[in-house]
Amino acid sequence: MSLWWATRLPLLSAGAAALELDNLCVGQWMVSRPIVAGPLFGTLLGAPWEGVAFGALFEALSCESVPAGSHVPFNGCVAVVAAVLLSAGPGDLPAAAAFPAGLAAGKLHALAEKVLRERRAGLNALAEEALAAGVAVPWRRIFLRSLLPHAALTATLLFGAVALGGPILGGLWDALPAALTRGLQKAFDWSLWLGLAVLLDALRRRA
Amino acid sequence: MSAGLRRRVFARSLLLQGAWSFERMQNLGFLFALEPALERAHGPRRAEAAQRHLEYFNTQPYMSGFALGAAAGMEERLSRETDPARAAAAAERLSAVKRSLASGLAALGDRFFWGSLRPACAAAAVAAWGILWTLDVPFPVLAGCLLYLALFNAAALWTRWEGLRIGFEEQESLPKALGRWPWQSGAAALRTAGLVLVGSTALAALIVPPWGSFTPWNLAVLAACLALKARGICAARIYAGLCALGVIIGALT
Repeated sequence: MSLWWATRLPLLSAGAAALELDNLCVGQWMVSRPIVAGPLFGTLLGAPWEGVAFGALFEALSCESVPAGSHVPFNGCVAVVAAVLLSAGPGDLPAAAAFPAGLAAGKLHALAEKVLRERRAGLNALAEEALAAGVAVPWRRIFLRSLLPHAALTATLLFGAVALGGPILGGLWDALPAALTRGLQKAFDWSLWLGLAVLLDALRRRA
Repeated sequence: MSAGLRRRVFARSLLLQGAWSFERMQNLGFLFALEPALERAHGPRRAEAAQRHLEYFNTQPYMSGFALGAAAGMEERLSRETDPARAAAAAERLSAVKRSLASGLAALGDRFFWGSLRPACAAAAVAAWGILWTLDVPFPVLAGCLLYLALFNAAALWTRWEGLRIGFEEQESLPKALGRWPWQSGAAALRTAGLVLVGSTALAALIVPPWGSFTPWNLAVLAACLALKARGICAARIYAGLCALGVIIGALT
């Protein structure tokens, strides 16, 4: 990884973590949706259409699940940013390898997020204690204790995926037999049709 | 509801899910958003009212304005109650109304926003990218993203904002008021528009140059993916299947 990347990757990861808060915690203005985050990070890395392709693909895939109740679907924002950073970033990974790596990062984030959500139950006690004592609820403390670990998780996961996962995946990709890489490339080319099928199915279904 | 109070509750409602937990879900965010209304209704004696709102609460975030408005209105009414027995009954009713509203609003909102508007906006953005790229329009990437954000947020923010007013005015009769809104037909229209856009984009991707990639394989993959999705198989599994198929083909060729 070059010095340019070593200095910018933490910034990009932190930026993506801030953007990802929109996914659930703050606002939900949809700026964290893959269809926006993908092109945004693609443009930042000088590969806007690569960002568009990944963004549209992950957006379509994430349309199949509804974030209702306690269901935590794979994180589309983390998935698309990881894929774009791996593909257009320091690892220069082929898109066929960056796409499943992004999917795995999104799924991993969802699993870790479940743990964070379980731990947030303790924040109720802070509010209850304040109300029982007749003092103001410490909202700043409550939200910081909720949002900071969440953002730290996202930033760490993205940084790790690109800084550590990138070189490992790049080495693995080079070591794979040609038949296997050809096959994975073929599957990635077909993923356009998979994305369209998921989107068509989501629209056809009565939600 | 005064304009100032409405603005404060609206701004705070953007953190509705800021402290989401499995135990009581959006309860802390709901109380945080409602606090200005409780302050106005109960003044310094708002702690008891605040305790009420620490119970479990979960709804679709864009529909939360309705529940917040109704709760604010009922709290204001409750604060004027002088008879303790009637106040207790009103508090009980408030909790019951909030519970029933939460699930009803979630069902409506999930269907409309997640199930219809979100994929329809995605379809619009993808179609826009295709058209703008083909026509060589400047800044096509930015234009597609902005279109997606504008379409979705126009509906989502309006519902959040208006929900506060309508909820405050209607309170217990809110379900009846919501029944007059065209949720079902609106969702159906959005899905139809989305289907037309995605269908046209798929067709263009198959046959129109320079995208044109019409091969029997691509058609077969699209048909297979559609059939598998119709059987409820998730995209990640289908992708794993495509990888396996690709590897077999790669090994044979």
